[in-house]
Amino acid sequence: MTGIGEEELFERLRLVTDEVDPMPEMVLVNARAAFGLRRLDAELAELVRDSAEEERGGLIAVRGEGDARLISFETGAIAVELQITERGSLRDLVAQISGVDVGGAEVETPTSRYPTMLEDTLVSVDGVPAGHLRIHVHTAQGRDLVTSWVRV
Amino acid sequence: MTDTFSATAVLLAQAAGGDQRAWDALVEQHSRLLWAVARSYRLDQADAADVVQTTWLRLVEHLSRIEDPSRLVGWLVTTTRRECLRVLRRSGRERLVSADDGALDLVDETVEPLDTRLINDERNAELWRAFGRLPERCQRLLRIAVAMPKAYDEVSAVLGMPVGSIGPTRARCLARLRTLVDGTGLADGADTGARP
Repeated sequence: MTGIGEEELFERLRLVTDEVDPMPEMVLVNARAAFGLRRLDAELAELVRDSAEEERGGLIAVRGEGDARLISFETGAIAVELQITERGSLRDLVAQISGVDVGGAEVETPTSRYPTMLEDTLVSVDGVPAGHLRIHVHTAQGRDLVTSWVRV
Repeated sequence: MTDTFSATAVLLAQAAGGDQRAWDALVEQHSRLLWAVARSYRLDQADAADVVQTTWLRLVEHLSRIEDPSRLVGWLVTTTRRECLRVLRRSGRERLVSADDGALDLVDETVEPLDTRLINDERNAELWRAFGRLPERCQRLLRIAVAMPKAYDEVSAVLGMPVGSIGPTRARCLARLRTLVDGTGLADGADTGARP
């Protein structure tokens, strides 16, 4: 066989990959900026469940317009149940917060903040752009809580 | 290896202490690998960029809690993979991932059109087209391998394959690629370099 060696092929594949599918510079720019979103003063509620990850009897849940996605976050006795409804490129959000008295909350994206309506233990906001977001909860006792980031 | 790990440990500790430059160094060292992982799941560029960003946002959240810096890369890769699967499930493309039964010898006939317009060298365009015909697991393994040639542990994490089988599988995938390339006449190299 007159073919080239496999290691040479590997090296050429590396060069072609760099040429055809280079990582966009924005990926680095955004990743560097992520560091500025660190909240050392707020307790983190971790993502514990996401309906987008669940399978039903081995079949993929078929998604329809208006279907809500449910994402749960927890830290200690505090739970945040986030319901997301898609509306084109916008998202309507309702979150039920339990285990703590809520003083207020906002939805944060990497570049903006959206105030929410608070009604008892429910916070809601409509029309947040699709993308990464987290919920920042101010408890009535003056503690701060943030959920893990999710992409919706 | 140990030097790399201890350098990572230092950067992690500095970043956890609030040092943006240490964070930037981590980002610059590992983003390309994460990009390769996301693209190896056939996410488009926008989804791949978002998935990589999710991973970095998660690391920011957990910066003070990474107990074993030597496992940082594995953690980043695993987090990226999980986010890829989430995107695929959400868009109903999951079977692309679950059809993984080790079917390394099946040529992928469901290839998406590959953009070879950007490639000036026709031999490289042929190579890229041949790559696109490889079984998906081979493509994934080779994508990650070219982004980080020694990352057997990380390839193992992404493919759910024992570390010991990565080397042989990589060789098998490259052999497969060479067969596909040979079929195009590309591998004759200099002999046919002046094709009409």
